[in-house]
Order: sequence, then C-alpha cells, then structure tokens
Amino acid sequence: MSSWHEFIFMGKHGAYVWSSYLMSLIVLVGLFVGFRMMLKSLKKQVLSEAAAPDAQKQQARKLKVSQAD
Amino acid sequence: MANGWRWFHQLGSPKYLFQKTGQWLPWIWAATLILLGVGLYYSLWASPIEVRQGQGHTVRIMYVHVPAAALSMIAYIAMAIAAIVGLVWKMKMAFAVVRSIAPVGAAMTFLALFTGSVWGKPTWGTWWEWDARMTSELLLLFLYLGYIALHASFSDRSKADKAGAILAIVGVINIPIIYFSVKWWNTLHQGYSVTQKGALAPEFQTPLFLMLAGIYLLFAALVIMRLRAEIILRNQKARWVTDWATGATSKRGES
Repeated sequence: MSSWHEFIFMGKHGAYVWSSYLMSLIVLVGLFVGFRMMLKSLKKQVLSEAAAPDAQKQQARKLKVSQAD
Repeated sequence: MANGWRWFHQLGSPKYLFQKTGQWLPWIWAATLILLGVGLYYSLWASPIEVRQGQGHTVRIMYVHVPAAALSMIAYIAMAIAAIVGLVWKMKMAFAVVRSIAPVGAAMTFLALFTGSVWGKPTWGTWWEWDARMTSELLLLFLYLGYIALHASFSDRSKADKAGAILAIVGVINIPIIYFSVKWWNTLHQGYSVTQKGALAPEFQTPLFLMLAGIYLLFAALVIMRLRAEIILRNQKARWVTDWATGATSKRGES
C-alpha cells in the first residue's frame, strides 16, 4: 500500500474489497450484540422470577435445613 | 486418562461449563482482538497486490473469504461431533453446543458465499455460477438454517435436540462434497490453495494465516457467548442460575 488514496479506492476495486470487509463486520458484530442481548434478557427474566416469591422460597429452604438438624 | 474422563463429565455439568467458559472468554477475546488487529493491518495495508493473475487489490477479499469458508465446514463437523456425543452419552450440554454452533456457522457460510460472490464479479465476471463448489456451499447454508428451523419447531426441547442432532449428523455428508468438489468436478472455483504446497506465494500467507487464526478464535468466542445464553435458557429454574443473576455466586461458590 503506497498511499491513503490507494487504500480507500483499492485501485478501482474499492467497492468489492470494502463491501466484503464491511459485510463481515456487520454480521459478526450483529451476532455479538445479539448474543449479549440474549444473555442479558435471560438474566432479567431469571431475576424477575426470583424476586416475586422470594420470601416463601427462603422459608422453605430454612425449614429443610432445620429438619436435617 | 482418568483425568480426561473426569473433565469430560464435568463439562457435562451446566454450572461447571458456565463458570469455566466465563473464565475463558475474556482471554479468548483478548487474543482474538490482537490477532484480528494485526491480521487486518496485514490484509488491508501491509500486504502486496496480486499481479500474476491480474487480481490487483481484490486478492484482499481472500483474507476473509478463506477463513469464513473453512470455518463454515469445520463448524458443521463440530456440530455433528457434538450431536453424536449428545446422542451416545445422553449429554444434554452437547446438544446445547450443537444449538450454539448453528447460528455462528450459518453466519460464516453466508459470509463465505457473500465474499465469494463479491470476489467473483471482478475476477470471473459473474456474481454467481451454479458450479459444484458454490451449490454445495449454498446447500450447507440451508442445512444450518434447516437445523435451526427444525429445532425451533418442537415445543419439547429434548425432542428438538434429538431431531436436530440427527439432521446435523446426516448433513455432514455434504462436507466432503464441498471440500472435494474442486477436485471431482470441473468447477469455476479454483482448486486448493491453502492445503496444497506452493499454491500460495509466501507474501499472501502471512495475512491469510493471521486472519485464519483471528477468525477461528472469534468464532470460538461467539459460540461460547451463545452457549452461555443457551445454558441459562435451559436451566432457568436452577438455584445456581438465580444465584448468578442476583450476583450471589461468589459467596455461595466458596462454601
């Protein structure tokens, strides 16, 4: 590579080279963002389920432990 | 050997697998970013243009096309192996791995087709040709999408896992067809350049091998991310998942 001009235009083939790299970037970043969002929304779901009947759950566990003693 | 088996069994535990992958992931990402950074510098800037075939700068498309195409096949083989492990050893986490590889493998297949098409236009004068290499690669994309659709069509997850695993195993027959297509048939697509000695000039090897390593690692990182989400999805009721979500893992993990 001899100049920025050559880097950008890739000697007439800029559109081909850059569209390949750009599409790869879009698809791979898309997967990254999608998977991250999936784990985050699952975490939220688990939290909201855990929050609701929390008081009862804790008691049930304590009861079991005391019986074992 | 005994240690190997114990490790294999431990990986079957969702909690262990989730914790371990959580520890590995930052390192894999760090290595991925370094390799891709150097790889992109070489593939887009510090490598020469191709003159012998008159490709000029379009040779740079190779540095994403070849890794994507290689991974599209390797990912499918990995899927089939995980599917066999799941069916033979009744290992649920193996099915989670199969499901996690599918979208990333499909993306790699799409990228191989897309970059190949964009590369084909300036070099061959056509975006697409129904030759054996391209047609079988397109079939691979449909196998990935078919697996995802089949898996989604069952409401019972264990049935979805088994049906999907069978599709993954049967579909592996397509892989040697893709790989050997350039040898068996007279294709527009060129023959081997990576596995055959002397086919690729050394100045193109540096960027290609860097990008291969970087994109392989990126693939691993993405599959692991998807796998971690899949583990949580499948174990939402487990206590350790609740602990993880509330941030209580560190306290309970030691006791």
